Amino acid sequence: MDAQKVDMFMMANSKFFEAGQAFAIRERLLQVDDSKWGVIQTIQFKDPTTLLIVSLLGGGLGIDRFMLGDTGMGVGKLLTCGGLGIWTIVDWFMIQDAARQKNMALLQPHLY
Amino acid sequence: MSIRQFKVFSTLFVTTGILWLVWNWVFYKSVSPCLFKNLTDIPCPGCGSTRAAFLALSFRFSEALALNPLGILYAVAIFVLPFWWFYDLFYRSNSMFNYWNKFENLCKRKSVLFILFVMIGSIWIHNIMIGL
Repeated sequence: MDAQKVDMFMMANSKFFEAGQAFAIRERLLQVDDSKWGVIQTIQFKDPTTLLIVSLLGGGLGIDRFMLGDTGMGVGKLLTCGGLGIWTIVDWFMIQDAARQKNMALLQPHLY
Repeated sequence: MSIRQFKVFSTLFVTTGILWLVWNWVFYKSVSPCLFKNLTDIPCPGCGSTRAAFLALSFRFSEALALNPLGILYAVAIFVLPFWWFYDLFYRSNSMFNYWNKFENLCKRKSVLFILFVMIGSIWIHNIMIGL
């Protein structure tokens, strides 16, 4: 893919991925065929910051996990008072990384 | 979620569940761990389930149902999950992880999710009505 397009993508979306992965994503995108540009551009990434806010406010009811697409974990969190309150607090610190990993999983199929 | 993550998660989940029940059994009256309830004074769908689980464990099922139907689910889970966990450990199988994945895939279907939310919603309304 065109270096200019890739750099544009990275500038707009780097906050959605782990810092360590950014370089690998850029390298990979440069090798990807130009026809995939349209699809890659339209992927809806989960915003880690939004998820952190949701986790702080509605973490006890598992809303953050539902938003992330981990429905099973969301149900588990909802039914156990947010995992006795412990899981809620753990998720305040984990949810951003979980969101970034989820974003990587969303992008992965389009990179190869 | 990877198998490794799930193993850590399930181990923590099962041990915390057992420890929580033992803690409540020893100290009988304990504080509510529910952040939502402590912050807003409105019970969440899971509130009262420990008490209901103890009622179910002493075979008072109708009282448990009246308090919080989830208690019966927990009473069953506290017997099944540790054994399941040990089974997976000894036979080196991933049956719990496979069932978890099946459950998550089932939850992705809108109809199942809707029914689940209606059930949890009704438990929530019931909890607020009886003022747990």
